[in-house]
Amino acid sequence: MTTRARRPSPQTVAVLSALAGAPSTWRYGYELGQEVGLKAGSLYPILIRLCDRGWLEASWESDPPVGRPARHLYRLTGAGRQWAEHLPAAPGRARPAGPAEVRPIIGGAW
Amino acid sequence: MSRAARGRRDAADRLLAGAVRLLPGERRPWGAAMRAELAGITADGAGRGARWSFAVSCVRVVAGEPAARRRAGYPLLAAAALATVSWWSGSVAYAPLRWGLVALVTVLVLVSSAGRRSGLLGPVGSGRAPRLVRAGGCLLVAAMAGSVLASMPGKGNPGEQARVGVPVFTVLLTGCLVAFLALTARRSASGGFGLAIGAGAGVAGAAAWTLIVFAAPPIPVSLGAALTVVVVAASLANIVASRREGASGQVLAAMSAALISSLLIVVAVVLLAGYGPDRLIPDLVPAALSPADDLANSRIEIEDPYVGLLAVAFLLAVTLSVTSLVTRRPAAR
Repeated sequence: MTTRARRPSPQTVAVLSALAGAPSTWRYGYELGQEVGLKAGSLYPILIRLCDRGWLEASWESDPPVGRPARHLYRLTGAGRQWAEHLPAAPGRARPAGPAEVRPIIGGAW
Repeated sequence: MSRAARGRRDAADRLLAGAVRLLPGERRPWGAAMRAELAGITADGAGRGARWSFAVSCVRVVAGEPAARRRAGYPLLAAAALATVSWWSGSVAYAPLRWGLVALVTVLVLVSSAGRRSGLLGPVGSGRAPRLVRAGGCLLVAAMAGSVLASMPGKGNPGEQARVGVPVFTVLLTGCLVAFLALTARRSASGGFGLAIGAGAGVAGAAAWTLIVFAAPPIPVSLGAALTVVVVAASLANIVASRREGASGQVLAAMSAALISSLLIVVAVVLLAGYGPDRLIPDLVPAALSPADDLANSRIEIEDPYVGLLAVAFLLAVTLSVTSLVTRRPAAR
């Protein structure tokens, strides 16, 4: 499968920036979506594509609380980090934001 | 977050659970990830809206997967076909004919669903050519079945139609459908090139026959011209396919060209007999009461010789099915 580099969408840049802000931390989808202001319908296609391209690694939560299934966790791979570092600052690029900063929903992913 | 809110199976979770079941195997972990996230969203107060919003948004992700759409779409299409024919058949007064026609459609739907599962007839091969040839073949068989359904109740003796016509057409159309499924199955020895050449030669053959009829009317009463076109189409497909296909692929390309051209010529005859200009219709009822009566009866009679071509198509379909199954590639381990 080819992994052609193409200009990522502002939403993808926002996700990459959020992940690159704490590269060693495993993040879960809902929290990530809240942070970058993306609904699941936009966030998951981005996560899936980043995983398919080898820029994101995924793992299952090892010790979930009783009564809740283990969450899927994500963080950038080495290649993903490199790619994120070289991203051009696109107009409207999201800054890595804290969990309290919920951005408005941006339509259409990738 | 309250314990009660965690992992509970409410309507939002059931909706998402149903949707993620449609995901193909390699995407299933993503479905589980979405459900796990949903389980973490509280169902109290405003959280209920958040759960629904999250679940519906995830369903959108699933709906964006072509494999999931196919997985949901085909059973719906099959159910719609059965429901439509059951409803429509209420207009057929003779009960054995009515249920015979419903059975015909049911058999075709069941056979086509076998093409979706791993086995002799499925799943479809990867690439554009197997999908297009399979879709085209299924549409052709469906159109012929639709034509049988539309014409049979008003034609001839209903008892005879139920006893003879319906079983004959059920076997014939099922044979053609099985051939298209076996030919385009993942393990078929025919590659994408062979399939494209076979289908292209078949369509070109039928188009050539139609052009000949328009250029030198009327529609031939004998099958000579049609059979010649079928043989030429098969030979050309065999020759062209030899560039990239092995011996099995060449044979399959030739046979599929013959089958497709035969079926399309029959369809062309039915269409021209029903809706074609008068000059294409040979005078087959010289003793008719009036020229209009002559033409109307000739339009009916001209279809009869081409039932023979349909029989040829059935034999080709059976041979093609057997050849496809015998020459198929071993299963991947």
